[in-house]
Amino acid sequence: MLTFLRFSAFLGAMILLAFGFSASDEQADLFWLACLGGAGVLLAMAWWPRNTRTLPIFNRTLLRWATIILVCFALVTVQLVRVQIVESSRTIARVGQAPNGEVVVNPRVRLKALEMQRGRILDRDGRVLADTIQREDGTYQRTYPELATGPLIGYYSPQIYGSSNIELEFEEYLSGEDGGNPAEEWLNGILHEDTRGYDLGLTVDFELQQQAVDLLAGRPGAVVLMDAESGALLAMAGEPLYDPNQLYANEGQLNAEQAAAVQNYWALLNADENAPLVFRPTQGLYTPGSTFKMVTSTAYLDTGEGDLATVFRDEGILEVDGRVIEEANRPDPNKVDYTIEESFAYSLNVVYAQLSLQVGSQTLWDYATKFGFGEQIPFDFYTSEGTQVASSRETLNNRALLADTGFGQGEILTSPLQMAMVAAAIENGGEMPRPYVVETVLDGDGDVLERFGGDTWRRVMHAETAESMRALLQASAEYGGAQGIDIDGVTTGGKTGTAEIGDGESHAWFVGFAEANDRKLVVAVIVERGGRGAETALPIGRVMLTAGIANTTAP
Amino acid sequence: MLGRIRFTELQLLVVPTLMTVVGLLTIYLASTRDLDWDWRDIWVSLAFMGAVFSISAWLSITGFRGDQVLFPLVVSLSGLGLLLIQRLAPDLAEQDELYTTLAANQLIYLALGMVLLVGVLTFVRRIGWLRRYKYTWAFIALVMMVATMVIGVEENGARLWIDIGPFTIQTSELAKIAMVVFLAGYLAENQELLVSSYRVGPFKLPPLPYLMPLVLMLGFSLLVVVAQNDLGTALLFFGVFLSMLYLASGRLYYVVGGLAMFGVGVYVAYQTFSQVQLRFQNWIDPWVDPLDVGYQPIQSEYAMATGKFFGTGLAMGDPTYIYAIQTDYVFAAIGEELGLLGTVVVLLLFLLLVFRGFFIALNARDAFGRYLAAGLTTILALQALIIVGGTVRLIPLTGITLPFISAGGSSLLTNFLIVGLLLRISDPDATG
Repeated sequence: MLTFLRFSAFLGAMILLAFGFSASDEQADLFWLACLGGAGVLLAMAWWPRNTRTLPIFNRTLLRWATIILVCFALVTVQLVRVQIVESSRTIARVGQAPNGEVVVNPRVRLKALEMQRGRILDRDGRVLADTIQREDGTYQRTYPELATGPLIGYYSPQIYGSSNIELEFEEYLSGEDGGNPAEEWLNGILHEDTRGYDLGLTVDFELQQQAVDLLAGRPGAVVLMDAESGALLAMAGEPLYDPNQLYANEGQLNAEQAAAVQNYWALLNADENAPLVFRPTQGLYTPGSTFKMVTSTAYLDTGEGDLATVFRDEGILEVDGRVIEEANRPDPNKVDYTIEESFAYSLNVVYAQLSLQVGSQTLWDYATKFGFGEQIPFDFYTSEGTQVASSRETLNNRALLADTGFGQGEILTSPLQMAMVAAAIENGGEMPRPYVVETVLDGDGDVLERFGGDTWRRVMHAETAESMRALLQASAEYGGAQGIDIDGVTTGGKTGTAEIGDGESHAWFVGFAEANDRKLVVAVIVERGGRGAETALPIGRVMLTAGIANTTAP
Repeated sequence: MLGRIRFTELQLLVVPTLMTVVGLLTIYLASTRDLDWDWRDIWVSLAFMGAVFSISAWLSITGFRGDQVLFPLVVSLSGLGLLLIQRLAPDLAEQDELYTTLAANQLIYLALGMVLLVGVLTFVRRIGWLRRYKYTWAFIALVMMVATMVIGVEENGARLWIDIGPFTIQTSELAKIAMVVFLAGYLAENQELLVSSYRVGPFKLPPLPYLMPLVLMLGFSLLVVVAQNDLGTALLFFGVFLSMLYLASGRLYYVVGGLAMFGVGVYVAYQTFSQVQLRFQNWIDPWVDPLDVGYQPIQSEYAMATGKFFGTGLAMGDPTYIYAIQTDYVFAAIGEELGLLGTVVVLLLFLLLVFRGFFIALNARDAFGRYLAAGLTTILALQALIIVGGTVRLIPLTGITLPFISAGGSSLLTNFLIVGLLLRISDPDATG
């Protein structure tokens, strides 16, 4: 019985520790300390000296005292395992901020950056986008030869600002800690061989990226060009750009003047009202406007409420619980009956308000959620968690809001990557790929050590629905709002959007696809305050799709 | 004669002494990044090895029959301490000229420590006289501590040292031994009385009158060390006092009462002194102020995390980012350069040392010897736990040395004195 109790106490201590490990990641947060303390008491119970009644006082008390000391040593050992093994990687990379605003980073990270050649970042053709050069004093410095891919790769500023995007999330590979043969890496570590970081190969084509930047021409906005089947990003650009070279700073490399220049540049970027440090393709949040009709249509068609030929009435005006929706997009004021296909092509808000009301708030919410609204898109680096159909499920029950949501106004927020994903789901037979931009990890000889990408994220709709949706996008390109997207020898389709955002110019949207020689590309373009989507965003999308098809089918 | 050769001890000394030789060679090669070396480059370890084996041989020759495991354990720990100081001192000297003599000084202290060990075994044939003069020890300890408070020199905001010409002495180090001697003597003399109780009306009370000298002694020393802002030592004094009282009496209410008092004391201190609050806050979350008070614990955490399982290797890490790495935070240096493997081995060595000390206490021939051995061992155990627990943020950090490993002359000498006394108590030939 006693043996059983001791065993249970020991088991309880182990369970408590395991629970503490899983539930908390601070070295000394009170919850963890409580778990550890509880485990200590249980351990003492399990190890308490037995049959001591016959011993003299001193022998008995000394045995007990020794047991208590043993338990204390055991607890210290557990904490050591936590500090040195379990939390090790997290602690090493931990960055904090002092009350005076100074950033505190592990000094070893800076030292390592000085002494080790950080891996390069290459585009799909091997063009160097991020490089590490050796200075005259023998230390290494990060440089970014190309401005257009700068914000995509992120900044790297070991002494002051840490890092972002790819530079942040692929730190283990770039610093050579992960990626190669583990046994070899371990041996190199033991022998202190000079190692260099592993290179990263991106899916991005620099020519396309440069073209996207040129087309945005300094206007705040974003272009996302993606392979619909694999999720590989061929271009991912946002304006305004910033130059990560000017944020690089490491110990001993900058004189006071240069350090001040780095800090000034950072302050300048943070003060800029166009927020250059917000990487728009993944972090920008916009009202989608009519491009959201792809989501509404999917909900309508996939649930079997109707088909492309179902006819709706559009009399130019619709009142929903006091909200008056005026139709601006009818091609002919005398025509009141429109099929779904025509409604999508002409982008009829009155019809989409009715569609939305017909499928209901729950179904619309469900489909938007399937497309990824309201969650972070799994990607190689940070994507906004702020996308949404409505501020909450309940508010969407408001019929006026539901009607607005149907044609892309209301409270919807989306990112350019999110809209590219919607098009990709349609173009890829109803399944969304997991988007990716880092394709390979390469060693110094260019041999591929690891390969990423080609994963499916989730199925959004039936394959037949995807087929119908494709027809809608093509119809829009043939005779509707997305006319002008046609490219010789290529099947194209798309949807424009003109997102009204209070006062001032609207955001110009275009989301579309192009298909040729078994290549399926999708594009999402937004120009902030760009006016009409068809006039501002669509031409950019057309050039990107044309160049993308030409570029990727060429041998 | 042959039967008296301390063969167990000799065998146990082989690995730790070789460790210091190989370790110092590692440090030398790592810092020069070259495979060229000469025996002269590692003379320190060779001298250490020579001294250690000489002591063992001398113990054999004089026919000493005391414990054979204790000395090798101490050699392992102080050998590691030697390596760490040899490794850290050059880097520290680069940061601050103050540290240019650190390595040499520590070697001198280590040599003095060994001399002290031999001296204790040679000249202190009996421990009985320690017991006879117990009040004298207590008095001397208190005088020294008060003197420190009055004429001492201040370092890092704590006035713990008395300056006597070429050296400074940290008086609390000697005081802790004096306190244990006094406690052991007093408890041995009055042990029957302590377990008795007397009645006041319906209540059964502990024998308060007999506790008074103890409580006075403790209270006074606590007052002094707290006034000196030496909370680690205060914690140590209190722990040693409580455990010895429990060991001698077997009465749990002493412990419960003591811990309750401790709790109240901590609470009052927390409410009264902003410095105590700062320590608690720094324990739970040093990131609140990562450049000022949080700097040390954060840097120590970075260092320990960098070590992972195997460590970076001696002289291949960067532990000198931590201020006071050679004293309070020496355990973090072990964590970074020797990894979890190193830290756990050090803990195990301390645990073995403590258990060996308790073993000696169990086999001591009289009550005074038992209490003295247990008390001295408890000093080592608590000191290791307090500083290591503080370094890994299991408890709030209070500055105190890691026995045998941290830099610091007084601490090293005191620890060798403790070991000398323990060896003497373990000697079956010694008579009370």
